[in-house]
Amino acid sequence: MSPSKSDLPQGTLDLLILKVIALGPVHGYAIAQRLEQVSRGVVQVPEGSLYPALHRLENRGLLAADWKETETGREAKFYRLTRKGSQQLKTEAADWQRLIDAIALILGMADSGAQ
Amino acid sequence: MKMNWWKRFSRRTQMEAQLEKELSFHLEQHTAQLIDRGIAPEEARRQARLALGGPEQVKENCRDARGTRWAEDLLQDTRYALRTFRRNPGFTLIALLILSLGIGATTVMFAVINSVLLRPLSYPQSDRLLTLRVSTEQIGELWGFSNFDFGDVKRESKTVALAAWTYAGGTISGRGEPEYVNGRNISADLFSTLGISPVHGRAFSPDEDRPGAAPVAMISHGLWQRDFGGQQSAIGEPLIYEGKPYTIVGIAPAGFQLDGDADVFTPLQQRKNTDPRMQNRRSRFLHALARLQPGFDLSEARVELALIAQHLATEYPESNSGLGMTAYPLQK
Repeated sequence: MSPSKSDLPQGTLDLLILKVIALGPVHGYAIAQRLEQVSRGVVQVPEGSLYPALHRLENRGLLAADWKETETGREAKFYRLTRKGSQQLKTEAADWQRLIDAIALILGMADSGAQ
Repeated sequence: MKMNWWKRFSRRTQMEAQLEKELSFHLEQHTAQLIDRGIAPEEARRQARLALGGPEQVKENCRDARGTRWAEDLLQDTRYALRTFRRNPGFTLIALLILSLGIGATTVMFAVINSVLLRPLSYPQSDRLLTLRVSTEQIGELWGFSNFDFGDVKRESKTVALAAWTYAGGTISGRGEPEYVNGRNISADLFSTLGISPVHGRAFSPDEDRPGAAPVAMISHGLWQRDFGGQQSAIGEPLIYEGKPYTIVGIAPAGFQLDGDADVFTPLQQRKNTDPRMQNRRSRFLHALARLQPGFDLSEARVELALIAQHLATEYPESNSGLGMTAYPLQK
């Protein structure tokens, strides 16, 4: 755990989970791994909050789950996005993009001098 | 599959098993991966559990996420209670008896106060008179205020003027036969709060309503007729009450009652240093009466009382944690 890792900003874990699951049905452990890989170790994905978040999203109807066999023949709980879930992902992703653009704009402003 | 709340609740055993299975799958996968990287099995298992952040903690959080937690806890508590009752029928019976007596007595008391306190006299603007009550989490509503809470609410409230009283009694002597009479300890402003005046003499002054002040008393119209022949000269006369000499300063109007007849009224705070209940925030034995201040209504008074109660709960958590305060119209 290097000191350069940042904690996830509030509210982003749900978004990241939805995004990972949007790529196809996965079980919890694979989600944890993928988040770890994709973020290139920059953000710290708290594994402990992953499962509560999954269950919360499932209860809100954004995710659905089925028990299926893995390649190794083990039974695992696979999560997939519901229609409501993919809608939510779209909205939240757009919100984040807007926020990121705005922040980039503000940070860029200092270099070019405020007008 | 999306489940509604009831399904999640009724299938909780199944859901628990699935949660267990899901988390152990995660731990096994992670452990296997760590072993692949050359970590010793025991250490790999430890690291996997550590990374998950304590499986029991995670399970708890998942149960919370299910949203059926309160009902599960309630069910568990109820089962526990029933088990205890079965094991201990004698205790159960006594507890039930005490509870029913307590609730019954409180209800009767309230009914009695409502009818007896108010019927004999009609107070001016009696629709603005309130009775204040406290409530605790364990017991529910009670009529009693502790003396300290009473003082704090009285000082802080802008919406109501507050007065209090409690039961007393003792032997009066010195004139004719010694006689036991009912008494009441009243705060100095009880009469003005109710909006009535003594028929002769005066009510207590705030200076007299404190420990160490000169002992003064008001007597009932009945006692005045009986022992003093209804003479105005009774004002200023001594009255031996509970073996102590009091000076009579006022005569209460005929028919004045505080939950029943009483013959001798003495200032409440004069008891402060001799009655340990007066110095204990848990001793909730004072009846609190109030009159809405001009321009305020019942709902505003309730909001303010709730706020004051909250503030007192923070300040005195030991005695006041979870204690609520509210007001009801005295006359329904």
